[in-house]
Amino acid sequence: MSPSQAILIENVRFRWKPDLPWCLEIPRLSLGLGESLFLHGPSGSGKSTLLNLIGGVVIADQGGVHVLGCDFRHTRATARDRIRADHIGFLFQQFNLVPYLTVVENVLLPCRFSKRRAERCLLQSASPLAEARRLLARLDIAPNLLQRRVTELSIGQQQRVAAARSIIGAPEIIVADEPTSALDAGRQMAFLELLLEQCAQSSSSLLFVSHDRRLESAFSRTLALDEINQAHAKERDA
Amino acid sequence: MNPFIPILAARSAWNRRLTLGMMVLSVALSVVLLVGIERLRTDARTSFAEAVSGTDLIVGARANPVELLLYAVFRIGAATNNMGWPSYLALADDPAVAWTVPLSLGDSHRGFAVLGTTSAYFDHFRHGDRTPLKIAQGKRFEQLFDTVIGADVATASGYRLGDRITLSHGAGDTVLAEHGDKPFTVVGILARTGTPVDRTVHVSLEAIEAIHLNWQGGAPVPGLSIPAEFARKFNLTPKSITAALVGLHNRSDVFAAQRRINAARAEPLVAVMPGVALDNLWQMVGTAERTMTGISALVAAVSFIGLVAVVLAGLGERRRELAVLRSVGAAPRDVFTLLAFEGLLITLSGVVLGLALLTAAASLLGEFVLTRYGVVLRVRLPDGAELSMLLAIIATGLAASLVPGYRAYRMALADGLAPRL
Repeated sequence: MSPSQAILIENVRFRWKPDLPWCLEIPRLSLGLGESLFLHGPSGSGKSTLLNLIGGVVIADQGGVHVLGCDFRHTRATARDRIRADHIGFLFQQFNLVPYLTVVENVLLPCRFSKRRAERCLLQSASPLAEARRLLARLDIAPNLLQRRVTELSIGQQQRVAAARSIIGAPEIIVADEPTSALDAGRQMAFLELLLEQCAQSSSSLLFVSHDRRLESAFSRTLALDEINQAHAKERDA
Repeated sequence: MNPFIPILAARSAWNRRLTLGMMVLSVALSVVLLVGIERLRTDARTSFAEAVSGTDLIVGARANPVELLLYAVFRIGAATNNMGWPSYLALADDPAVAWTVPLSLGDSHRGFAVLGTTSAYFDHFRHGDRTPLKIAQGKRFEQLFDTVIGADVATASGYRLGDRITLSHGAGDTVLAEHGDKPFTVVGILARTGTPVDRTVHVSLEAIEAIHLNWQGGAPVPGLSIPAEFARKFNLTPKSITAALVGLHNRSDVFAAQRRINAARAEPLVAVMPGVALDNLWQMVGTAERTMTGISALVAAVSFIGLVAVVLAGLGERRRELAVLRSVGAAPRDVFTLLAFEGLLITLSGVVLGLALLTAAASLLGEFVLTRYGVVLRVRLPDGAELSMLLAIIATGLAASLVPGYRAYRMALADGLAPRL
């Protein structure tokens, strides 16, 4: 049965240690297939914890985290690693590239850990390498930069390389954690447009986490994490 | 294992090549020390064991058996006493004795030992696996002032047949005076043996007498000069020799013959079985060898502790990188493998570099060690004990790499996708 939601979080509670208070209590959060969701919230509202739950790196103490129909609470760690590798592209704020690899090698990284993503490259291009080149060209990375180390690139260029890496192999879900915060305002919108366009092209669902609400108009839906995270709300009320 | 991990480990290591290069060098030096000492030990033993074969007994004036062996066969040290010529003749007449070779040492030529002997030397001396001596060029000595030189003497000095050389009184570092009045003619050059024979100038016993005719108490008699052409007119029968090599008709008689010689009443002599004396020698140097090996093992241990420290210290800076790998699908065990592989890579590179350094050292210093210490350093691939040693080094390196590997594994689990730095 194919899932109706890319991500479905229901009645989830999570805390880092048993003697600490809940840091995440979410009755429901969903990301539809092909949907782009803007999730905003201040620092400490539980964004990183939520990403770790969605990535299957940590497991909810209560409730269910379903990624493409798979309940992470009842999935082994190795299987969760596999789901993450095959179906989720992560895009982080900055310094998210492997410094000793070239631009192209960084983009190809997910294909090294996921055969499925390597194979899905062939839907668009002749090989994963060709797909990496295609995506990089689409994201305005000049061909002469492809064999350079990522550390030689500007912040804006690095962020576009990271975007290409999250998109390669057309994963069903792309999770972006403040990917535009290191860019200036003019480049933020341009980058966002490129990202949305690529997601649309590969029918990927996009969960975009940011505290900068100027960007939310570009998304089909907006949610405030500090409002849906009751643990945060209780802390605030107290 | 993901086949990409080794590539990633190599790329990551190359990125930190300066720091890790130092670690590789440190491991390499441990390998040089550990394997080098083992190699020197086995090469020394092989060289010594191959220097004489087929000789049942070495006989000399009473002395420490090891000393007798060292100077009679290896030209190391000096004889404190000589054995009388009559004792030698009596030895040769012993019914159990098949052959004898007299050896008279004490002079030198440009640092090479001069050996006075007879033609029997070329007939009976054996080295390696009972290989007889072979004359590569020319012939044995026949005339009084003929000399047959070893292969290294010929190579080092560039001597050819017909060249004239003079001998010096004294050996090694204590050359006293030249026997310049009685030059010798090179009539033969021996084929290489890889033993002290290569570094020996061979002359007849009579020639040794002849060059010392006008000498007394280790110095030329002032005002007395006996030209070479008159030397033949003197009685050149030696009064004493340094030692004698003895071959028996029947090897089973060796203990009886040894007892007989050791009990000789005419002169205090000692008969030594070369193999037994060599064993004694190895026992004597065994403690030193073990100490050296122990120190090398400690040096290796220090290198590996350094390796763990360096890789662990670098982990803090690499947390983001490991989290990125996790985000693209690397499992914690991939992160563990990556770090363990890195350690293994450093160890293997260190081993390869160490062996290369050893080979280079053997090639560069081989000649010097051979001339100076009589030990043939062989350039070869590791074998036997060396291989076990290298495997032990690699295993230790791998074990040491598991420490940072495990630490990275724990970190990967705790940090998740967004490490708090």
